[in-house]
Amino acid sequence: MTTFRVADRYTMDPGGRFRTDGDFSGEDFRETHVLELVEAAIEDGTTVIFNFDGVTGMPTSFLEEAFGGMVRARPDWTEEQVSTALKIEAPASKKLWPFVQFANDAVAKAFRKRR
Amino acid sequence: MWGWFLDKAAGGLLVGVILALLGSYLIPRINEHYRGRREHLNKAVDALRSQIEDIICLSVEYWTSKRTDEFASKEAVLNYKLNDIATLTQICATEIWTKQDSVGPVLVGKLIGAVVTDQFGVPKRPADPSRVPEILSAAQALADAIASSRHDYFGKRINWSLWAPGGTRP
Repeated sequence: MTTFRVADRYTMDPGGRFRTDGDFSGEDFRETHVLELVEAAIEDGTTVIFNFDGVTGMPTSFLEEAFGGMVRARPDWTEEQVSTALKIEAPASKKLWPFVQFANDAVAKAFRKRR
Repeated sequence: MWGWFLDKAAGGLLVGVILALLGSYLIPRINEHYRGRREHLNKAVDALRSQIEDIICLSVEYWTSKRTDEFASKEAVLNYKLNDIATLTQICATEIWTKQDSVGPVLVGKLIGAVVTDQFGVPKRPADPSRVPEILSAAQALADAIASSRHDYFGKRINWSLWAPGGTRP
């Protein structure tokens, strides 16, 4: 199991949706970290945990593009594979819990749109 | 006589006086503390209810119109209010905010998703009134959960048998 602490290894201030919106966008996060780590987790049969404790916020457009966009970018990944390989959390940050739920829902919605 | 009095009663009287003075100092302050806390929570619930109503009105107006550049300010307000709802729910409904996937965070997450996902913020997106039922449903579910949580909160602190025949909760 791998834990990727976003605040330490990427940014404390996640940005907008696209790279054109500025630094630390959801698109950039997806392309530089999410796809690679989730792919490795799927291949190894393990789990990668994206931990958002310590960030100042979890912008919804960032989350949707990072994680919903992951599903769109990899049409060969199944929902079962992703649900095993990917975990999003912020256990120490109570105010971020709804946004963790939003990120999980964004992944589920992206899969529903495929069908 | 005075020696007998001092020996038998003065000690107890002194302790009683000290306890009475202590009580007269502490009890009003404790009451004030809990009353202040209760008023603060009640105001937070009122603010939360108001924010949920605002979210419904603003997001229905947002999604039933084609997006123009001026909508950026509406998006900022919607995002602010959603964050405020998350904070206020955490304060008001602690019974449903115990862990990451408990009812409170899940329902607030669903409301956030109903309002800001998909084409939210995308330039020139068309009107999408099909979003409205999901928004209303998510807002209602959250409001119901908060009301139940508050009811349960007070329910644990009230002996219902004093209020209802047969001792059953109303």
